[in-house]
Amino acid sequence: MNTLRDLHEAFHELELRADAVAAATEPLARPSRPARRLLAPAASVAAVAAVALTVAGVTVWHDGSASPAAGGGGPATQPASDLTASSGPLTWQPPASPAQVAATARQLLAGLATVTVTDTGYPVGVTAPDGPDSGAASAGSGAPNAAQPDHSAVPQHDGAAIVGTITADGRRGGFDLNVMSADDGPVTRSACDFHDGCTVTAQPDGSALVVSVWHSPNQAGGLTYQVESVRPGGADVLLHLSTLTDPKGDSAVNTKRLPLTVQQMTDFVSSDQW
Amino acid sequence: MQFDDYVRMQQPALMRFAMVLTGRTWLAEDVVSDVLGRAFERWDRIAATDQPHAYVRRMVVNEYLSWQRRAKRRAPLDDEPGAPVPDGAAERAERAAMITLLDRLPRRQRAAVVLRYYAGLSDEEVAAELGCRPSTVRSQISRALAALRIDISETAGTYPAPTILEIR
Repeated sequence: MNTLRDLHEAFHELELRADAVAAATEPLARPSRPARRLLAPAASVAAVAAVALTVAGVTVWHDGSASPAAGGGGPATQPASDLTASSGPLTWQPPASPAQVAATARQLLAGLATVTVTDTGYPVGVTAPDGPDSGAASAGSGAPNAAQPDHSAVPQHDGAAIVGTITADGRRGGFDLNVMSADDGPVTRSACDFHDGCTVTAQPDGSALVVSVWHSPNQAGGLTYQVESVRPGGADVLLHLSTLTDPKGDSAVNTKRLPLTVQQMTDFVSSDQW
Repeated sequence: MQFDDYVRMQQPALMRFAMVLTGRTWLAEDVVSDVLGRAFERWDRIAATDQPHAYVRRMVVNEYLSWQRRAKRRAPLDDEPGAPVPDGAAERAERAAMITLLDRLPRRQRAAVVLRYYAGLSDEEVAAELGCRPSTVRSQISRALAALRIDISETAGTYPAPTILEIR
């Protein structure tokens, strides 16, 4: 039987590892605050220089040279950068429950694929406080109150998520689907879950579309796509679809090909029904 | 407080907290990286809160728990959970075993345990951080302690004081 002292010793061991990492990190210069750029035509965006914000050993890319999606089949849209997806007051309301997300997903894929839900939950977002004088709780799930943290309040969920499998034509791929409120500000390459191949593109309706792909280094044929639509109205619909059983990491390869094409995934996350 | 002052003062504590929370250096760096990047962009508003560090720490917890991040890559082979730091401590194997048990916990249970026993928060404060009720926190911690094979009655009052993370 272990004791709490064993737990604290484990914590201390982990602290030592963190310190070892910190010791190996050179002090870094203060980053300059980047100006937020409005949605711009791709041609002008192409001239935007890449800006790397280096923060304490950390690099956050604001990059105008989004690389084409790897693996083929990606959208033939021109890459853009720093796309402002939220330009007006937020009117979109996030789904109240994972069941609502599942129902919409099944409706959108009716006749095309079947959706099996194996897990549900709530995406966790972080929203900065409105300002020092704000007395209301912040909109993001788990965000502290700006004026005074209210530990007695249970934060409201800011969306809903489902996990499971999508099956079409005998191909069964693991997926997770998050429908949540978009962050304020521009959509940059920091929205890319997988940086090996990622595009952030402006859509005609003013939304930003993020498509990235990840090839498992440990599972031959392991392929996961991130397809995400960030809307002017504040909706952020994020789909991960994988040839793996579980899109959240390495697991058995279920199918050689994804059950949906990238265009079908794009249509799915871009639907007005969300 | 300016952002670079905050980073200089709190980045080590933030990295330790993230490491205890995630158990992996690459993930701790990744989480702290993303959080500091976002905190930088909205620092004026965060700095105006009563407890900027508590706010950023909550961002770290949320990032760790986020569904998006759960889709991320596998840890590098040289950063597997339980790999001990070569410090020569006699109890190294026992600590590694405990770290392995920690790594097997569901994320929310682990977060609850870390916030309770590492950050020293009350059940109510942990509940506020995780967006659930205190009774849920108590249930998660109870299950986590069982999974960690910790008998709390054997060590009540004998374990070290929680790490102080707040520096205002």
